[in-house]
Amino acid sequence: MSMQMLKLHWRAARWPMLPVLVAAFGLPLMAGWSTWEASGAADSLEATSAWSVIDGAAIWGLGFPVLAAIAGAVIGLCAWTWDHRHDHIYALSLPIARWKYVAIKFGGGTILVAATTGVFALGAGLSSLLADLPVGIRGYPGNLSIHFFVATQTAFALLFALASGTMRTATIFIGAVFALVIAGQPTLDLLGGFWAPIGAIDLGQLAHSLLIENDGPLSIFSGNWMLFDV
Amino acid sequence: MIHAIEFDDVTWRAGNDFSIEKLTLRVPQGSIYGFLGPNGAGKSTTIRLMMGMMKPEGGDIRMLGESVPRALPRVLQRVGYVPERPHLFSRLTVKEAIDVHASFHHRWDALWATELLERLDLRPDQQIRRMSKGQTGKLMMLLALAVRPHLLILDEPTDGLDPVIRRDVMTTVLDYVAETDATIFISSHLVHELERFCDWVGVIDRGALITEVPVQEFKRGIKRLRLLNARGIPANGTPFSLLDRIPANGIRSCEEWVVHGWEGPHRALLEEAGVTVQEVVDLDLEEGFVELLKSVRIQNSREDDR
Repeated sequence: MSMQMLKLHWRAARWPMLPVLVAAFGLPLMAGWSTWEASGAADSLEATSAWSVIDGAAIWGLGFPVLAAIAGAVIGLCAWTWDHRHDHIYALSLPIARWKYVAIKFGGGTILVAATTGVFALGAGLSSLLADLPVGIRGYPGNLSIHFFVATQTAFALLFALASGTMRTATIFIGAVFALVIAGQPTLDLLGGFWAPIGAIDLGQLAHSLLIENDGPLSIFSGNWMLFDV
Repeated sequence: MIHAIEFDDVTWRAGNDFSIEKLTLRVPQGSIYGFLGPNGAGKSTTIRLMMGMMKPEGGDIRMLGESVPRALPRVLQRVGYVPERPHLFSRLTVKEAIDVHASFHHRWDALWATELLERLDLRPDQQIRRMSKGQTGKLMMLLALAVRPHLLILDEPTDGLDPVIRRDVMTTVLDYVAETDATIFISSHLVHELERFCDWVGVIDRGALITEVPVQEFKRGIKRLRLLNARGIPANGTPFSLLDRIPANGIRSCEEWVVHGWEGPHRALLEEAGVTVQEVVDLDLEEGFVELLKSVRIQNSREDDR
């Protein structure tokens, strides 16, 4: 049963996942490739070379959380494609408790996240192996892959939950987020005219501190995403 | 009598537009129960309540002796279901759809499924999205039958199928019933098709069950009478109920009555009142269904006016 559910999930997600998998393998390789240039350009000055490698890794490191978010989103959104197309009639007619159906589906998605992480780890490992690293700089493919897995799984879980609802629920949620982003701060500023403490609220800062700082649910997307570091 | 499906005062509402109010339904075990009603009467809603796809706001539903939706997974292991519209994942092949379905059902009979595949002329490597409506209908029937169900719930299973495929599908179902004594609950608006094999009939309109009787009783009781000198004769007080009363072909003294609950001795009662009964015609299930529906709607609108 679980195997069949995984197969169905893969069938729904395989085409959108193809570029994600290519990127998961290619992006760490590109990060490694940048070290060949950096170390080659400054091989007489080891310290300069080390900083160039770190700078290069930092730039490539910006792409990894984005890739993790996209991978998780694709896997999460594709989990329910077929169920929605037929108003969930097939799933509801199956002799299985609903929580179990959702749990198996979520488990299948986690396996796809793990597979994507596997591809990422392969790229990162290969990249570290081939990298021409100056003294004092090390590759962290294992740590980075774990970081990538947790971030991808977080994005998957969020989108899995969002996509499980009806189109109406999803539209309401996304609409509310958009409304908050676009009209939230002007509204607070306007209300600040009547009551000063409300006007002092910085919505962007508040969202950042709630979601990303202090171990917020999205904090995994921040932090150190360096493949090469000291 | 043991019942495969029991509804007791089941209530369900969809806003102000439609509701099922205190629906009580009994489907005898081993019967082929035809569930009739015009479009939008609540047939599919009733089936979805049975299948646990929707939760009733009140009342109790029991299927195969167990409470629904509480024991749903256990009950659904013994139920084959063909929905109104195809619900299969279209990118799969026939074989893949069978594998997925089989993986959820403990009672899946792989040998029987292979036999049905041949019998219904389906190819395992066919992609569902490239199949015709008839082929998809046959595949859905295969999936429903290969779980060896004790109860088969069919929601307009032959709707839109050509007569040849319709016959293939229904023959397969009837062979299965003959072999296993399973119960079939079949909803359809192809009334004359149901008449051939149903032994019980339930009629629903606007979310309310109008009647639930054995088919023979339903047909036996509904007659069209051609009467002379019946003008002005009141129908109340008669032992049968008058469903419809129309002047016949413009002849002044002639009327046609559609009656329910007619029995032979009632002729004498009419003749005592000076009415000549020219003809008593048996109505088929479809005519009976239409007349019954008409009379119930007239009665309801009178009650609403009051």
